[in-house]
Amino acid sequence: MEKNHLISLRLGFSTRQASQVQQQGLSAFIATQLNSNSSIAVPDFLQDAPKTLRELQALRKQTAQEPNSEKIAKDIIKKGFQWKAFVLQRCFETKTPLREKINLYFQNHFVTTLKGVKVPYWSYTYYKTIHDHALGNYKTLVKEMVYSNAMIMYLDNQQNKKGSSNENLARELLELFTLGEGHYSEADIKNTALALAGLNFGEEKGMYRPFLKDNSTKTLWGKSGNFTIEDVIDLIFEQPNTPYFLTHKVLQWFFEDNPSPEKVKRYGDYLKKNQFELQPFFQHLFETECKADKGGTQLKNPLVYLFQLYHDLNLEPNYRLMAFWLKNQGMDIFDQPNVKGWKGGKDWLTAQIYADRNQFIDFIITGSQQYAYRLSKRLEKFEVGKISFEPTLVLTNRTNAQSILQELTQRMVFATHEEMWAELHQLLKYDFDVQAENASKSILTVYQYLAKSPEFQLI
Amino acid sequence: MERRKFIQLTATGTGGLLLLPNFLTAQSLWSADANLLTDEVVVFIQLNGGNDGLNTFIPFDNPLYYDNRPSIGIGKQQIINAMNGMGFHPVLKDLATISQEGNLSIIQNVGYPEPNRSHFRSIEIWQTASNSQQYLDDGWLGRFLEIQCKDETLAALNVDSIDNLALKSSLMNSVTVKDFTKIRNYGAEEKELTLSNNPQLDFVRKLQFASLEGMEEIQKALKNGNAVDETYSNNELAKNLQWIGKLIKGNLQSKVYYTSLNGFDTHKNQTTLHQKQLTILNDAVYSFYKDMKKHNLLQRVTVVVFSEFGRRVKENGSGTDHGTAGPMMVIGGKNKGKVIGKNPNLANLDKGDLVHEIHFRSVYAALLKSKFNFEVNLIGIDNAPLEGLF
Repeated sequence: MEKNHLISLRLGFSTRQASQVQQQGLSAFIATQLNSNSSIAVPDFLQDAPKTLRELQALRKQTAQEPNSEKIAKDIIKKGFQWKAFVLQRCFETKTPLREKINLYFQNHFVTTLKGVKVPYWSYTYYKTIHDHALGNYKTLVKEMVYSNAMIMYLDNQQNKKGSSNENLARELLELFTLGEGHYSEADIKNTALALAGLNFGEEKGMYRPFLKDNSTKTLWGKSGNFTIEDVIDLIFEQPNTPYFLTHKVLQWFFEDNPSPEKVKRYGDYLKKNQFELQPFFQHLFETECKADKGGTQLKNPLVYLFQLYHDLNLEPNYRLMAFWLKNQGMDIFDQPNVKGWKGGKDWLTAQIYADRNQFIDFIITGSQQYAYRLSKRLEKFEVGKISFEPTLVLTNRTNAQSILQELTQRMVFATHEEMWAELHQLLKYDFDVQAENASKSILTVYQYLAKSPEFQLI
Repeated sequence: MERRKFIQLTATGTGGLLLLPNFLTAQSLWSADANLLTDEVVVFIQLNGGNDGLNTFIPFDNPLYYDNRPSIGIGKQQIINAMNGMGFHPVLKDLATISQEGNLSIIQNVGYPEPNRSHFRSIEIWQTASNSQQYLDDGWLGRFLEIQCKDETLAALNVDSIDNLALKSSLMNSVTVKDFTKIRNYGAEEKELTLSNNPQLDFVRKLQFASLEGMEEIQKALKNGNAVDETYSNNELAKNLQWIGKLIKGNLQSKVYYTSLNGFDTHKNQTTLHQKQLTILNDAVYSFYKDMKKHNLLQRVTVVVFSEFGRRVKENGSGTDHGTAGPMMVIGGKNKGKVIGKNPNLANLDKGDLVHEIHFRSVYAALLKSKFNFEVNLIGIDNAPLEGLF
């Protein structure tokens, strides 16, 4: 695979940025992406949604009284679906996909789901918080996450009160957000939970209810005091594994399913040396990894798979359809199956998922009435609107069969092999006429072949 | 279909049957089936690259043949099974035997008007049965199958490395299987296979086979067919035909099988190369023929051999250029075993190439009419079925 296409896939969702990487150079490209100063405005459909606890409570009261309370529950589901589409639209249309990919990384690191939070507006503020801090300090981000209304709701911390502990958020803070299993004791969890007691929903973010707060002495890693959760997080960041835990997962999300311990240590040390500042860490890690990258180290997640197809084939995006499709592929945006998030790697692909990918690509390129019928049946209740697939493939060098095969393999697959070439030459024989009336269709069958190949399922 | 239900019930309903020796169960299932089954099966063998028809079925009595081909022409005394001025290339000795047994028909000068000499385009015309200037999205067999067998996943099976346009349909997917050895191994258990030094890639490759549509039926048929496996000659086409044979014997419900053999684009060094490819064809087809015959399946099975075009009458150096019309071969228990059509007219050429006399679509029409009682006008073919084939 051509280097810049590979970089574009790693740092974005498709090969769309390949030419930009080429023009700017790797280092400048990454810097531009990381320096972008965008924010996330409240999407229109959330303007009238309950935003604060008070508004939510008012709505709930109203819900309890109304006979058609189902309608309100349905509205929440609908808004959730709109939110998924909104996130996908951002990722698809953005000029800085690396920012969005980092956001999605942290959303999968500090998981909260629409189903679990049930207040779509809180999912928005949670995501905005991620976006605003994703290139700041990791420690600050962790603190912000713990204070997020969505997180408090998702991990039940509103039930964590003095004298009546709920350890859910405390446990995940240590196990999934910062340290990883084996790097804390049950006592650490208990004491962290005490520090979190009384942290409940607030207006824009969570706040302590003074009378539910636990002011006893907490002991963690040999230190004692009436710690607040900020103090606990400071202690967590003194633990040796904290930088490595993040680094391991970042390498998995962006580069490889099985990063070596040496690599994890190297980048982890760099993160720690930079006081957990994320921007220099990302810049350094992306640059170093992309330079040495040969591809073939990571199962392609459904989102990259889908966006790559859509960009390559210039398909008109329908974000609700995309959300639906991703769900079927095991990547339900903002609705991970559990707090651990998507595991990635081999979990992304099963025989069924692979077959579904192949059917989808067949459907886009060849069209199948049966598939169209099944799909539209399943989409009925989702109000996805019009869907049309008119695949067109833009090539830079359409001179002859060989140039076309070269370009497509360079764009699409990390590696080729003899058998693949023999098959490609069968598909597009050397005397293929690029001017022929149906030449574009024939070229699409090459795309179809490559998209179904095992090599395309990897980055 | 009722028949399949019956067989499944037998297999699952009487556990005692499983205690019998392997070959006995399979044999009895299979022979019980042979009585019940009347389904026709057509196997297509596509010779890629443009097979030189004039050096396959040779007009040795025509002096123009040797005038045009002083160095690559096949000597009169080498030619076998001579009849009516035509005869086989010497390596096609077993096809000659099939012919003598009355089970091989040759259709001469098959092609189409306004021939296109591009491999790519010409095979497209054969596979879609379009006119020379017409572009169709779906294959001729795909259009047939979507009407005749629209509810079946495995109406057709392509045993080849790439998907086949002939089987393409906008209503249903056709199934292509590249490598049955892998399917057998991969399908077995959750065993880890090492195919490359990349474990991620191996993981996906393993899934690739499991993700194929119809894999369960294929696995089942292979299991049935294994017990009645026969030895085939050792070449790539024979290997594919052996798998097809096994699936037919194993009761796969496919009506159409499709496979191909590369290497017929003989611009240079034709004498050696062509002989090699024809040997492969001969050995493979004969193995398959014997297999079908032995298992009383010849009456149900028809093999069709064709190529996207023949080659220029006049040799060019040690080879030949792309041409137009050529012979088609039809093998099986139900064809009339004749040579159909006039001998190639080497005097009246179009830009140095043979003028076609029989449209390939009339052969298609005869195949679908006789094998499946299907009227080809339903799929946009208006050529009358070729007479005298079945």
